[in-house]
Amino acid sequence: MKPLLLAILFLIIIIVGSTATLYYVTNKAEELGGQLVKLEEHVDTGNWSKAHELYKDFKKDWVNTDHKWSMLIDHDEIDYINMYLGELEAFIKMKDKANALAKLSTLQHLIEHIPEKEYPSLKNIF
Amino acid sequence: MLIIFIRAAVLYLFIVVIMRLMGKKQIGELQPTELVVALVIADLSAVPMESLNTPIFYGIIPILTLFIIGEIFSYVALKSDKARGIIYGKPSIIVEHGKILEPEMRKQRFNINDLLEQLRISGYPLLGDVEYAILETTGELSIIPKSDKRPVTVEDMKLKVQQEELPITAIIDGRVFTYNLHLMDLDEDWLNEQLSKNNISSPKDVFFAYVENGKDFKFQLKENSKSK
Repeated sequence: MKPLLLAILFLIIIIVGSTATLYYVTNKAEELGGQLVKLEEHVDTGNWSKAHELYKDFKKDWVNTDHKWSMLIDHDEIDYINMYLGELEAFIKMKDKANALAKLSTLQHLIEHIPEKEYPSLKNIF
Repeated sequence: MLIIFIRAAVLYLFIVVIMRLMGKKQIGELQPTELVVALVIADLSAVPMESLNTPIFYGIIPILTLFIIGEIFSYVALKSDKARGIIYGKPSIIVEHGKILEPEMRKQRFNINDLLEQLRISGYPLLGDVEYAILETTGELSIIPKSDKRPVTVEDMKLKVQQEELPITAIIDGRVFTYNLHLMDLDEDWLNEQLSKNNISSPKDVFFAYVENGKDFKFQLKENSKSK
């Protein structure tokens, strides 16, 4: 009987934990995505000082998120995000609009893809 | 390196806990569903143990899921006969009244050689001595011999014997098991009395000692104590 009760307890923890994780990752990804959209607008208009400031804010936010997400999702995607962020910083410093926009687009796609991958859809299950 | 060491230790301890919770059956005694769990757990833990890019939860959650499903199956099988039949299968009668049931053998993909081998292992080399042979859900063959071929029991001989008690360990390698003595309503005073009766100065000189039938003290001294 004791293992059965433990099994039920684990089941509840897994369901609640997974749902909370999905909720947290989705919200955070939306928030990060929003920051990237703002950054994209400033890069697009050539407001480089503001773009650099927003990049720094994003980076700070991302460092905190990185630690939490590493426990929950595949590290490969997080590594890619870190790598592209490094490249984006260089492009912003060099005021290279085309490459900065390209990296921003890739980062947006990667960040949006993370909650998509965690969502229990038929596509993900099978 | 240190991370792999820590991950391996965490996963190992986790699996030990899960396997302990799952019971004491050995591989050969497992039901098909339990065998699947035992085999899959090994693989599930190997990936997060060696791949640092995979969160450790990717190993822990599937193992927990298998444990949960296994426990739910066990509970359902305990409560419902129908469910037990579906989950674990039903025992199959292979030999009935000394006659091999060919259709059942075919259904279970159990051949004559398997049957003869199992009969020999069970101590019945002659098929004619067997009344029933039942293939259990764990894959073991239970044999019920013909009444005149089964071993003689004390009851058959109409002898009166005393019920034997479970032997209780009193000392292992010089360590006294007080808890075991209490189970038999004995105490350390009684043990010391037994030791002095047998000219043993201290329990530390005893390699192994046990209590038989609730009162008989049996012992074996340590090699170095004998030469004293």
